[in-house]
Parts: sequence; structure tokens; C-alpha cells
Amino acid sequence: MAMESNRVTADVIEANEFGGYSARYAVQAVPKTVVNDRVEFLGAMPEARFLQEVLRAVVPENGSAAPGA
Amino acid sequence: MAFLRPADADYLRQRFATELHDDVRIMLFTQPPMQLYIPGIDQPVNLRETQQLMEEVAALSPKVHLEVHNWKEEPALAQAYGIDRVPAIVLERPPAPGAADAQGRARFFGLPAGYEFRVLVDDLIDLSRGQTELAETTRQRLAELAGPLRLQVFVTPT
Repeated sequence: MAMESNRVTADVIEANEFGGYSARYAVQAVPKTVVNDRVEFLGAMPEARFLQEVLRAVVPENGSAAPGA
Repeated sequence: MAFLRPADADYLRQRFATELHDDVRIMLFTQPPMQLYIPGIDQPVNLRETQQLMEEVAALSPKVHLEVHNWKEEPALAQAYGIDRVPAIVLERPPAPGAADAQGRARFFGLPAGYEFRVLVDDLIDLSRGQTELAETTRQRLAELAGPLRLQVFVTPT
């Protein structure tokens, strides 16, 4: 995803090697994805679903998203 | 001893030969091993292992270029790449002539072992080809982003 947009940065973090850092994000299971320090989710998933989860981080919280989104 | 078994190295060499297009760069940020233990701070581990693995990967293709940087001695460079812990690997496609920024980038913190190694190899190839395997709709949504999107994926070796 980071290759498709300059606005995206993507980090893969080895949780055991960076235990202190991972603890800040309460990583207890992997893979755990954190987006903009605001949205997080667990597990691997199909691309469309992953995108949907990721974009929750940039959709306004108060529901101005498209109906059904 | 090598990390990559001869058969795996041969397989990767072959894959790189057929699938790599443009040159790609692996920037490894590391530091000399620490002698001092500081409680509460993540001690860098796998520094040597990560460097060795990246050296083995870079040796498999003339299109893969490895740069090794000591982040303590090059703080401005480390900061420019957002590196705040090591070992850290930045994969990037060097800027096109005349362009300021690299086109596409991925970062790995820690030794990319197991499945993560496969991800790293696939990322190298995608960067080199200048395209990803993502669906058209995904690419569109990403191109429409108005603000920054910072993804952090926490993993363990599998």
C-alpha cells in the first residue's frame, strides 16, 4: 500500500524484538495492525476487508461516512 | 554459516533474475552491539543476523543494492527515514531522475524471518517493477487519500 501512495507509510515490526514498543500498543496477539494510532485490528484478512479496516482511520468518527459504510 | 540454504539462494537468484526490473535499494540501519544494559529500553537484538541476511539477499542480484548505516552516527539520515529503533530495514526504489522523492517505500523493524522474509522479497520485486498486486479499487482508494496513513503491523516469526 505504501508503494501506491506517498501518503502511506507501512512498517512491519517484529513484536518480540521490540517488546517495550509493542507493549505501548498492547500487542498480545499477531498480526496486529495499528493505523494512525487510532484504529487497530487483529488477524490477516482479504485485501478488500483489510482496506476497509484501514480506511476507518481516515473516516470521520461522527458518521459522515457513506451510508452503509 | 549462511542463513539462506543453497537451494533457497538458488531459487531467489532465479526469481530476482526474471522478476526484478529496475534497481532497488535496501537501507539497513544498525549500530555496533551494545555492552550496556539499560532497564526499560528495548535492547537491539539480531543486529548481526539482520545484516548478514541482507548481505546474502543483496548478493543474489546486481539490481539489489545494500547500504548499511549506523543510525547513531547518521542521526539526520535516520530521522529522515523515521528510524527510531534498530535493526531497521528500508526498501525503496531510488528516485527517478529529476524526482525528489523515492517512489514507494516499506520498512521492517527487526529481523525479517519466516513469513516476513517472503514479504520482504515480494516487496523488493514490487518496488523494482514499480507496481503492486493490489486490486484496482484498492489502488484508487489509496490514491484518493487526503491525509497521511500510517500502518504498523506487529508480527512474530512464523
